[in-house]
Amino acid sequence: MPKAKLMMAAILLFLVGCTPQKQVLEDIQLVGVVGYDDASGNKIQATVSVPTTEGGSEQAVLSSTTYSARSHTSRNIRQILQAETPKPFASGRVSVIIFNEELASRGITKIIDSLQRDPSVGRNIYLAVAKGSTKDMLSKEYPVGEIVPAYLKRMIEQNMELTFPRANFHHFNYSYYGKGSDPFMPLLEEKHGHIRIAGVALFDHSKYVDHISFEDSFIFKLLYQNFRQGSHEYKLGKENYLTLENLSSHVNYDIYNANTNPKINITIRVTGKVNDAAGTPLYQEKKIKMIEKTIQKQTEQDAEKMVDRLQKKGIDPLGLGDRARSRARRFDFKEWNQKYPDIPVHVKAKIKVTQGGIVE
Amino acid sequence: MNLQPKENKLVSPYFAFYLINTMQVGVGVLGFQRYIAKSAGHDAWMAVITGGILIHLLVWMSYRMLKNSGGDLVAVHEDIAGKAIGGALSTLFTVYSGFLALTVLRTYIEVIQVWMFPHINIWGISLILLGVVYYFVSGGFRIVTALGFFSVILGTPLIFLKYFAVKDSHIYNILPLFDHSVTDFFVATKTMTLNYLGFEMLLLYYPFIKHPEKSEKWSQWGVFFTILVYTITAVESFAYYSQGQLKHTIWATLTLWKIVEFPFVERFEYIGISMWLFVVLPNVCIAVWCVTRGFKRVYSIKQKHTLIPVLILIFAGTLFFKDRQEIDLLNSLVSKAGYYIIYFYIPLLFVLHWLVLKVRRKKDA
Repeated sequence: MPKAKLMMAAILLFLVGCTPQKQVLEDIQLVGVVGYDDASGNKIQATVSVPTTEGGSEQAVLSSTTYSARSHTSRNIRQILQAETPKPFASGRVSVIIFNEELASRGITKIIDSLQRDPSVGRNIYLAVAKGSTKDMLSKEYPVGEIVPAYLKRMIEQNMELTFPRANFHHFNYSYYGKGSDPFMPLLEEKHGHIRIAGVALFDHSKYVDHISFEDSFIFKLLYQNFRQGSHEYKLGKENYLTLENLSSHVNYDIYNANTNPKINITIRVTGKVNDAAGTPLYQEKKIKMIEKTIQKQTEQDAEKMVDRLQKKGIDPLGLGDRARSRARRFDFKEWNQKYPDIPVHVKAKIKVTQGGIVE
Repeated sequence: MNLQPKENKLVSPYFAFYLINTMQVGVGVLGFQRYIAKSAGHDAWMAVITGGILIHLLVWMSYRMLKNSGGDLVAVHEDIAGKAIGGALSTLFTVYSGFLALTVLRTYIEVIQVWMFPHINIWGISLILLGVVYYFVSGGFRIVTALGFFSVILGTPLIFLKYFAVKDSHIYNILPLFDHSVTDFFVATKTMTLNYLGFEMLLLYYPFIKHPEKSEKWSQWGVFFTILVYTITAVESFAYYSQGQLKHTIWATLTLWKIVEFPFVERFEYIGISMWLFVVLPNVCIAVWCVTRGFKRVYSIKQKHTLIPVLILIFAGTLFFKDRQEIDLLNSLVSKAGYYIIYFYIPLLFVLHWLVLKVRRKKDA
């Protein structure tokens, strides 16, 4: 018996050598951002941004470098890129994936499918559409104290905490594969030596079709989800403007007769504070009531206009179809899609201004 | 042959809780969502509960049967069909246990292959895991039970990972309730019970529980806990995924772990898959132990003599089933066998055994 046990131990010991290929952090290159561009002849061009360190361990300088190549499939691009790099690529820490506008408007099905299948790609990563070439965007240096991959990731992340609606790879998949909603993602542009979010890029299934400006993304977010931050500027009277800072906002959908003759009422409840009202006295009860009313009216108008525009385009980033399905048995998506552009939608806003800052 | 094992080989009644629960929560919980959603859509989470209630009933039947036979499934078979046919039936059940072990092991290796190491040698990982299984099973039933205990303790906290998905979930996804026909609902319930398979091993290890009649409440609690785990997983998955997305997701639970974020670990699913080994291992060990126990009871072969051949056969089996389609086939074949065993065979045995004992008692009187 001891002999058998010894044999077992020996076999297990020898099997230690059978480990799959090792991935030591120093021996691989962790891709941070991938950008996809349109290229001629049914090809796509991919650009990857990889963090690199220069100098010894004492004064290492962190920077990022880009590689790019063209091919028909994204897997093959990886193979071609590999030919010019010192270490193998690893995609486990990709945090942002950017599509060029032209490519996105032709549809991104192929790329999405390949990303889906790769187990090393996370679901909490961000997708974005870029105005102009992503290669140019990624290969420039920006004076923000961060390398490009970290810059992009943090910028998108903190904006989604504020006025931009939450949208990561999981949300994209949810709408892309599910019925009754369409995906959206941030629209990026390069301006004055920085990258900025220009708005909300709206998709019709896999195709980029339209966008909402960054200023209006707050209204979109009010309609889309409950949240606790962000701010928006409203016009008060003829010349005055004021900014409402959101403290908490709740949205509620009432959908009637989803199967037969649908009608949608959206109620938004916002509690906020006004710090910046440019001369309007904020301590008078009457003034505050007036401000609340103005904000309410403008929010309702803007929101209804936005929903109407989405309906006319036949896209549904708010997931109205998905919500309607949950309100009716035997829901028929085909019928819904036909009716969708003409469904009457009413938005009701309830605004409450609670604070006016630390002085009266 | 003496039916009752020696007292120093028995386990306390409350271990029935862990034995039942660990056997039911295995590789199935990683990806059962799309299978039940296929027929009953967003209503399928209710099938998880109804399926569970049926399991409660079956455990109750098993206990009635075992109590009256004073032993295990082999004794029940002998009561009903005599030594020869009874022995053949017991052998079939033993073979089924072996296939259960093979299915669990092969499916787990597939997860490792697809998610972590696409280049891994199947024979290598299979040999290592079966070496570990040999180590535990050769230690006897008490060691296997201890492993089951640790598996529940280590595996259960993973359910809290669902918290990370809550902020991206729409609870309205599971509405409206009862949107599917009774037939759809029945099919989903049937599919769901396949994930509850494993409790029927109770029929073989029953004599190894000290004061086995006291263990019934623990077994029922074990089943209840399993239902809880599956229900939470199903509801959260249905709220997190859209139905169309779920259709494309093979391992919904694993993909859900992709959203988990800790400051010290970027991609949690790799840690989750590694921890899942502790959940999967007792499944294989208990099933393999039951195979050797079955052979001992029917053919009086010592358990340590059958253990190595059984492991070699399972090893050969893991090499035989190569790709997704074949593994899916193996899974559906074993589930089908399990389905007939728990829904037709156990109730049939229950009734027959009851009749046989009634007739016998009349004769004696």
